[in-house]
Amino acid sequence: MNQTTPQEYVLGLLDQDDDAAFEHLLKSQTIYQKETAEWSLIVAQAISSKTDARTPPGWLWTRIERQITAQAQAIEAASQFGWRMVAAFLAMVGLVVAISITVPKTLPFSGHHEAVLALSETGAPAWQVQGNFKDNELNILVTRSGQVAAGRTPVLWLATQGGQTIAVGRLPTQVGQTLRVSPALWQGDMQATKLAISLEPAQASIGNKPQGPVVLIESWHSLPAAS
Amino acid sequence: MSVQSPEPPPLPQSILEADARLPDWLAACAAGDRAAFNRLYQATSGRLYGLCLRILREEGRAQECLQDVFLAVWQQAGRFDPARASAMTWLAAITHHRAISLSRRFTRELTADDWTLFLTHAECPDRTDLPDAAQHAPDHDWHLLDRGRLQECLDALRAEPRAAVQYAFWQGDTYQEIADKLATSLNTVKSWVRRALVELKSCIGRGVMPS
Repeated sequence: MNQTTPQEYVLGLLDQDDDAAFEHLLKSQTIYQKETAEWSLIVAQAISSKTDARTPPGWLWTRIERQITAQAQAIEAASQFGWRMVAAFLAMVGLVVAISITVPKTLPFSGHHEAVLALSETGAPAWQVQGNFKDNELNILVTRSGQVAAGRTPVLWLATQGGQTIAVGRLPTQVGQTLRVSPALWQGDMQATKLAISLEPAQASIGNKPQGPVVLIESWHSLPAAS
Repeated sequence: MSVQSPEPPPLPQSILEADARLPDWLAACAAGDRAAFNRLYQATSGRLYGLCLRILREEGRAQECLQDVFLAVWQQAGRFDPARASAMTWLAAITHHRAISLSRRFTRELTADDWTLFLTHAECPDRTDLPDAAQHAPDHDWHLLDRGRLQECLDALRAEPRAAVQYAFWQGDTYQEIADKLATSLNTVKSWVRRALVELKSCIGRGVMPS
């Protein structure tokens, strides 16, 4: 590690231990930050000038657009939930219990299925998720609050039968918060998907598959008719 | 043993014109302009995808790389500073970092988002086009690096260290991969590359020091 240089980090030459140690140094040592950033630019400039362009597949742009739409909606929905709470209280029904969680309220649309998601009994949040398959809508309600591991944020995914993962967005964590997901998110048969939650690094962008541990996978359940 | 690195053809005029618009599009992205983000993608995704492919050598992983980069760019476009780097170099630096991170078998802590912040620590090593560039950083010895200087310095290295460091630069290889390709020991490759990197730094410094 004593011989490690910023150039070696930029070029990805280090083994796991030295790479991690150098990243630790980067957080605190100004001299390393400056030199590393500049070598990153120098190497990038050189290699990009010698690299032929290749056309990415057309669907990749669609996927990127869908991701930023979902993320924007997650942020917006998490910040404005009051009216949905009122609606939720008006639509009281008994719900399926999963993982020993009894969910007291439902959201007000019919013809839907639902899943009830909970991380564990360690105090981490639980969510009620309702999917309206007819209108391709999905609503999420936080039913129990708690702490998620430091530096991590829960992210909801759809896992299709074909093995594709679709990021729905970051889950709210305060009791009573709701999240509505855009119909544009869905490509195929929502009923055939499973829901999954992963714990992603809090500051990381959400990609097309979980980077953090997948802590829960849940199927949809039929919802009893509302009274 | 040498690694071929032919000079690329000059960029078409349309690409140069698009590159001139990149700073404006990044500024518009920072303000939430989706149309500008689309134009940015159309203008740069091919080159950045080529860079991802060069390092990762597999289409699926290169697609993941490109997606991660553009998600980071959308979220962090406001961190681009045209005084520190050209927009294309900034994008390529984020892409190279992400591609190298994805290519390793271990997880790096610094994400593509983090790297957009990290690059703000740089001064402007690739900006020879700024009218006041000479005033920027007398304290930095590779300031004002011109586009051909790195290649000249690489060419000046002895054959074995040059081959080793070229694999690291152009292919994104690890020490072990380089050792395998050059059929030599890991320690020898480490020695060659470290010495070559010191010489490169010195060479680049000599080339840009004010006379």
